[in-house]
Amino acid sequence: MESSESTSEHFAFSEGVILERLRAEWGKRFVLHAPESVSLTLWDSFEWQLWFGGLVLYSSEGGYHLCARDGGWIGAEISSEKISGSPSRYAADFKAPAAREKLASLLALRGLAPVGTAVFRRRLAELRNDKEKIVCRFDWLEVLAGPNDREAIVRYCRVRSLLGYEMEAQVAAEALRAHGAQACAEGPLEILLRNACNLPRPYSLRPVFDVDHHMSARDAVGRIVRAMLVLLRENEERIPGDVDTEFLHDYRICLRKIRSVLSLVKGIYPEKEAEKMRHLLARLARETNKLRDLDVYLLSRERYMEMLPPAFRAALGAMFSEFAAERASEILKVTRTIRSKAHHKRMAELETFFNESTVHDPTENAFVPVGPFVFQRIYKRYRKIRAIAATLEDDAPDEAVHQVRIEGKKLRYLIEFFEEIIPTTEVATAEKQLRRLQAQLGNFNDCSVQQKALLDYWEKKKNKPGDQLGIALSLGGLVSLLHRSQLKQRERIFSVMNEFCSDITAAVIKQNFKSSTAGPAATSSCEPSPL
Amino acid sequence: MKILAAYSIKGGVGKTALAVNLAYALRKAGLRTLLIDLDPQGAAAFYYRVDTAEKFKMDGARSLLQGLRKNIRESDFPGLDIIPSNLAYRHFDILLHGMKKKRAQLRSILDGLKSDYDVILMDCPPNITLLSENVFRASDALLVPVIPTILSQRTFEQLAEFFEDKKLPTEILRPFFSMVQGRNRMHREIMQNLPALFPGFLKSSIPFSADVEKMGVQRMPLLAYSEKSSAAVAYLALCEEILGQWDSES
Repeated sequence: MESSESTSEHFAFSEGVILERLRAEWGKRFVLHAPESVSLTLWDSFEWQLWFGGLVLYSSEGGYHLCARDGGWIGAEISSEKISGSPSRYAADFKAPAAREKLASLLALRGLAPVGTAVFRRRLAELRNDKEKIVCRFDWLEVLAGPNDREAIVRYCRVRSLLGYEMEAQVAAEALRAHGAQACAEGPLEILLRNACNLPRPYSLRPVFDVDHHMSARDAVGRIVRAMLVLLRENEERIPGDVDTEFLHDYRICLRKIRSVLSLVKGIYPEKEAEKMRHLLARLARETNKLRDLDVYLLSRERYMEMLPPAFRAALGAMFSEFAAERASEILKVTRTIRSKAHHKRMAELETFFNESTVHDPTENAFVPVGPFVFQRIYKRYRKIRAIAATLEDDAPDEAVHQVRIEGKKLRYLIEFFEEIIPTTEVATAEKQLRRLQAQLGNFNDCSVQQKALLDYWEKKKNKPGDQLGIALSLGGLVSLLHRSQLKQRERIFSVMNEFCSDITAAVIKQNFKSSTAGPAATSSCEPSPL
Repeated sequence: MKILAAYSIKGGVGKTALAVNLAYALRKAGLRTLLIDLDPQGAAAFYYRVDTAEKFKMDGARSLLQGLRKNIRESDFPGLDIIPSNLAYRHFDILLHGMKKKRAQLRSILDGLKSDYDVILMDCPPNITLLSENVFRASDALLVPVIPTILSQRTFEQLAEFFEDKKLPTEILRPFFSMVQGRNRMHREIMQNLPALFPGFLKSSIPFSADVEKMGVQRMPLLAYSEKSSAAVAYLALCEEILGQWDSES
């Protein structure tokens, strides 16, 4: 299909006299508009969701502007609005419906923070033909930084052809080259961010560990842990900033994953030392338990409110205000902890333990090839889940159902950690079934935990002065709704569990993981050669 | 994508001024707009400083679409493109004659551009030919400028009769008063009586204005250089009325 889009070419210059030269060359055909300077702050989330979602959000002169991203340039504006009060941090804080909708779909729970600032001095120009028709447009841009924003860190020109006048744009681009312009791939936004030492990079809690089937189990586990520790640190340092709740969430996931890998593949490090690390990780997680609980409650505020009729909402509002006040003091407490010497010491201990150069005593499984070793674990985990599931009746107690969730999580983590060496295509369906089962069990558990939390709150409140009746009504209403929802989840769990534990899935798991030689040909040992 | 045509059997009624300014107004309303100058005089493209179209092969629907595409020119106003006129368009009729479904070919050819534009507006030559009939069948609305004079009223009535005779969809007819002189008693009388006879008559009307004539000197739409003049305001109102009708239809 032919495109009817016009094209553009980008150039960078080392000095600013080129405009005068072009004016001398093209005379009146070259129309130069007055320059405009604008101080501009770019906003994005920690995960760069706007950048990777093809958007640019910047604030300038008291307003927000949400635009499409055209490579490294600001593209067409989608919406703009005045900044009133404190800066907008979440999608819901924006007034323009287009901005709210676009940002909500990209950001989810993430918040926005400034990612770079500079002054853009922009000058538009155009080249006309003998009929005075515009045949080519120019966008001259200087990105200014340094003291008082006076130093041009880069000078750009974007030459944009008009549809049907491509030849004229080529001639113009040629003239620019003749005056020393150089084609460049980066746009001013990238330069701005580079100058701020803050270039967009993808973020994932499932990084590439670079593990292969034949490497020693200790080497593989070390790589996994070290990668998770980097993520852990990135999130940890941002918790005090409190831009959003996801830093703490991801920090805790990193702690849990590192702890899990040590529990799931035992015999890699001397048991006493590994046990000490597991304790350390558990302690670090415990320090943030309360803050995370409060985050979870506060994040469900809207959902809870919508579940109840308006008349019941006031008492619930008071409960959330209490939680919010409690959270405000809890984040300070966690910040103090994170900045404490004791915390730094613990983190250093963790990092040293898993450092590549740290020598640990040999252990039973340290130097076995990781592939067959992990496959065996995966197979064992699956069989365990299947065995528990076989004993579950429809009326099994919640604790028994919860046990399936715990075992399922262990299996999911194993698969995630060693994704690079497992036959993902062959076990894709089983993985999908496991994800579905875990999601269902997660919902079930959430309902159960939330009911307990609400009842605990009632226990604390019931003998204190206040609107007891209002609180009782709204909490009672919520607990019964959550209970009904939990019962529904339970029904679904059994159907998803039956799928995951079916003979077909069991056969696939057996075929791919049972034999210790499943996967690429295994070597018997990865014992390091004596030095 | 909507297809509009500025059409009149009679020349000199403000048809091209309508096409030029309405195209500008549509683009200003945020619609990706393509103005096709089908009138061999090429005045619409002239007002946008665009040269006449390059020659291209016209030996079938496919080559016609390719030729039209090749001749798309971006105007000085982002969001508005133009296909300029070409004397060869005189041969459209001959080409259409040779095609299957010769009376409805244009719509399917223009549909080939629907991913790129929200509106296509055609400035048509003042005659009734096979091309005109194709325009009638291709358009969602036929905008017919009517000067409130007896002669102009008569030509519009002839057009309406032609539509009935040929069983063309009369509901696409959107006449409106053009070059209106409020002080002229005949204008006032015709404006009072004629709309009652044709339900599609648009409420907006374009006043006679010397500013419109200056378009030839400025070589740009009136809306681009004199947005506040009475005629410019009237073109914007006409555009609003058309967009409002689309909204209520949808």
